[in-house]
Amino acid sequence: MTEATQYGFYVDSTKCTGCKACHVSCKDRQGNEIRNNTNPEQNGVPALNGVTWRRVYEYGGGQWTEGQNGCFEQSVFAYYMSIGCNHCSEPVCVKACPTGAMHKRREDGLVHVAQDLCIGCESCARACPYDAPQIDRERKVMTKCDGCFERIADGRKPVCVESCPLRALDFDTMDNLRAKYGNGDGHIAPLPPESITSPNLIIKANVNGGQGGDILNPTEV
Amino acid sequence: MERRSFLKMSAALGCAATVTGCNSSSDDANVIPPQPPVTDEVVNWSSCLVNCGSNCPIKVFTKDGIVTRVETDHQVTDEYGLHEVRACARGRSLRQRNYAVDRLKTPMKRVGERGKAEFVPISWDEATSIIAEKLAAVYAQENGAKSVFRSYGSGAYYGFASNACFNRLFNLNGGYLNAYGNYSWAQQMEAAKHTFGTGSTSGSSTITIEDSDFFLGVAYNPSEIRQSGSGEGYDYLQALQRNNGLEVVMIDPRYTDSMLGKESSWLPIRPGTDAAFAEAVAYVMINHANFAGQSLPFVLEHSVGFNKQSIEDQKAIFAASSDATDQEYAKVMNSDENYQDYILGQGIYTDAKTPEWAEKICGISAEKIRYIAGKLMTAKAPYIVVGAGVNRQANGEQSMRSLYMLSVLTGKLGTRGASNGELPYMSSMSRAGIPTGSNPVKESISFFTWSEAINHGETMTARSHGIRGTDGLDTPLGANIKFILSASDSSLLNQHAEINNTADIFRNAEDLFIVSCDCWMTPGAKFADIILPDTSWLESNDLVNDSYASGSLGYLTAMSSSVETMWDCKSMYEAAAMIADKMGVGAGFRDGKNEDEWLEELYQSTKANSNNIGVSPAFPATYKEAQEIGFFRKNMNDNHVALQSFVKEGKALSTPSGKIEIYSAELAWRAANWDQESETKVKGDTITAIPQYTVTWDGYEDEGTKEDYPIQLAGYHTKGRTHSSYHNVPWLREAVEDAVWVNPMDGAKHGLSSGDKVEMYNERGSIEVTVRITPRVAPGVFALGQGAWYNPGNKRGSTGHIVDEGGAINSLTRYQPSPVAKGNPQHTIRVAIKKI
Repeated sequence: MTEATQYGFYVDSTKCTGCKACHVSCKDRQGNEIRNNTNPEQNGVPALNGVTWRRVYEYGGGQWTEGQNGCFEQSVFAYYMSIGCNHCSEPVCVKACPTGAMHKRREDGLVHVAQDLCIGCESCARACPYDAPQIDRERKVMTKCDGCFERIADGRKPVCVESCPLRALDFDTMDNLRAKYGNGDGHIAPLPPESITSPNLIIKANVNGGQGGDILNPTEV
Repeated sequence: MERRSFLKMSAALGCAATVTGCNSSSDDANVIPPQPPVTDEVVNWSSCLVNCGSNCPIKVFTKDGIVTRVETDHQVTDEYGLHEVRACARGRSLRQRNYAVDRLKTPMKRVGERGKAEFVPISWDEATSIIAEKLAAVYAQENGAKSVFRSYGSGAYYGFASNACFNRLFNLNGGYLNAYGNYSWAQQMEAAKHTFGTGSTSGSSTITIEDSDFFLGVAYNPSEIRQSGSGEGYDYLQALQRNNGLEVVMIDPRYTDSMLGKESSWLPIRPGTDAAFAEAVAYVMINHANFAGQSLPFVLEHSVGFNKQSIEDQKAIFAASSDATDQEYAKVMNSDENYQDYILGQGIYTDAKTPEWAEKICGISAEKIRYIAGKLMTAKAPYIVVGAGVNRQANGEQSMRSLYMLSVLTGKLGTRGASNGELPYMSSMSRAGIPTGSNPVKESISFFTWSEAINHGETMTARSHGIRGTDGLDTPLGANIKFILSASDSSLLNQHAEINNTADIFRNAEDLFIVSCDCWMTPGAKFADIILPDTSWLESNDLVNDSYASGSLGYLTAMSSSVETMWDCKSMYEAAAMIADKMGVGAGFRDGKNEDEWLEELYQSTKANSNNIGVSPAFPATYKEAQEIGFFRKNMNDNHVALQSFVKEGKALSTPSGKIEIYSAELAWRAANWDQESETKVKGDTITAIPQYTVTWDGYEDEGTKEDYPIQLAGYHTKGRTHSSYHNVPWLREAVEDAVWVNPMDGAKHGLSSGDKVEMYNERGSIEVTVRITPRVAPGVFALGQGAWYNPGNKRGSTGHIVDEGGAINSLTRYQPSPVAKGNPQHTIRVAIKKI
């Protein structure tokens, strides 16, 4: 790998159905990364409530009006946006970290947390416009999408990408992703402007993108 | 929450992030590297066996006998046709489900009142002795075999150690009461049978959508219901992407995940009013300039019932037949009741089914109804598909038949790209299952009427309850159900209609004995007399196929246990065998084989099945070797075109007339002979020979309940469960919130905001649920995912029932068998709400 290697994600929001396979498959792997649970027969498998490395935002809107004779008139739309960490080129989480725990890896551009340096102050989480840093309240330490670095080393894709039933996700070096998908359609809501962090994320925009709406599932993300 | 609102704000306002802290170096890598990956893992193949239509393969990783993670199929290059079979969120959560804290760990005996969940642990020996004794006592009674019933049970589609093992046990002891129909499709099966002579899943295969030029989906939602990455939902996406530009019109009370920009338009509809919509579309089609030249010749050649003459002609054929049933049909057929007169308001009918009439009922404007009818008349290959949600309504048979009519009126059936409204045909690879033997009991009840048969089986007849297998209309079934074996099954309480009614029946039925065999303490298991703890999928060796709605790719999984049998669990095969031993039929049950030998035999039979020729990789010689490979696939090349052999090759349909029956001879006969509204006093409990929109109890137009219960509640299949399966998995509860969907207009009207708790209630029960305000549901309609687990609390609700804090929709549904199928109307619900 060269100095310039930078991994990133591709999300096709025309295919995503918001099924949450990525969210849950990540959670299954994530548990092994941050919990050492050797006795699930007795204790079950930790819920890790609120620690969600990959989140699927449901974005939608539109207006309803009452038509004649009680008929429905509306302009409703919705689509989903699956986001983990975009391993940004200008990671504001890294800048926000007072201890150096949050760092960007030189060899592959992945943004990781060194948990032994983390003091759990959540500055990174407040800075990140993508909700990527996810505090583990039980251990009082920050956690986040690590790009499934061990799978990448094995020649695999991250678990979220491989789990996607609709084949809406991809992950590779940004050079490879651009060669395959071009630069995409630009970021659509609920994503913030790319200028904030220079995210390594290519989006294929849903046909409904560009309309004003709301995140409809705040409790799920 | 702070961060989340920030995400929203930054999107809306485009504001810059506030950068805090002091470390601005972005390449400071001077840290301890993360742990290296685990390498000493063992891999086994298992499968997700719930009733979603697919049985996705699951690759299970274990270390020191403990499951560490699961994956899915990544054995091939992922090219569509012979692609990877990727499990959805549910399959991916299997580790947590396997180790769920509510796993049943030992056999138990009830010591408290039914439903109180007061049990004491007992041994397998004691449990199976008690069951054997009870069973023997029931069999010793007159008509005893008809009192033995294995309830539905669609929670684990094993091939070998399935709940069919209990049927095998029963057949060795005198048999059991049969059931026909199912909770998914009961009414549409009857509707399709009496229209096309089919079973409601013979629509054109999904792949053929590529040749369609107009798509009309009514309650069709494969993206949420068939979530497998190799199922109907994936085929649907692929077909739409291949046919880019296809006009897709979707009709549903919810803006579903099958839309999300894939649709050209969404037309919200009020639940249960589909037939009114369909009739108005038919009205415009019949009056369309193209009808006489394009549709009428097709309709007259291929169907019976459009006009008076077609009924007279068919009546004459039946009258001249030597078949006694045909002659019966001829006697009751009435040509005044023809479809054209009914739709146009002619002859004996006075009111034309105009778009202006329908719009007030269904909520779709007359203008849009005309538009759809015009599209159906001008498209070369209109693909019409009706989801099963339409059939699970009061008199859902009528709604389904009404919608099926539209495909007939297009005159385009038999053309590739067109379809007849049935669900798309798809095939599966074949796998052998445990042989159950033959059942000497000939009678069967509708699957839905089992709870009524606990107290009234003795008197239920064909005329009153659609009992099959008895002599004539008025011979009673002659036995009440006294022994229920509920295995991999939540129809026992949670998924059956009207939970409070079922619970009361259980509490009062002293003659009844209930055995529950499952992996988890389900709401129904709490009502059992004996509980048997089943092994989980991950503990099992078995042989399973791709299930019934798994798209164009067929597959087989040779499951091998990845963890030792946990606690004191036993498979359903072992459980049934132990009972068989106690009843003296153990040798017959086992047939001289152990588990390995059974699996080998079933594998060899599967391997020899000609339907599986061409499987990849090729089947090895033995089952043990197959387990090493684990997963096998075959492109089934489903390319079915609905009614093509009938229209293009003249092959008769299996309706009484051999043609499409707009006017059903069999339903004319049932209309004349079966108990209906005049006997049952149930509004809309009627049968007619032609499909007719019917105002029913608790429907949109039901004046009797409109005021007290002003909200129509639409149940739907949530992505976070399959029916009730997987409800007890915390990851899924977090990922998919159980909240009732409320339109913003209704939110304002009722003073509700997202996150509020409400009591939803009617005369049958009360549930407590969280509100989600969303534009994705029609005004006047609330929508709630079905399958949450019933959890009675301590307080009484607005109508005197204990409030179900679990939010099971069946606390609100009604036990009222439908007119023709005697099936479940579990989507017909009216409620009132109260903010808590």
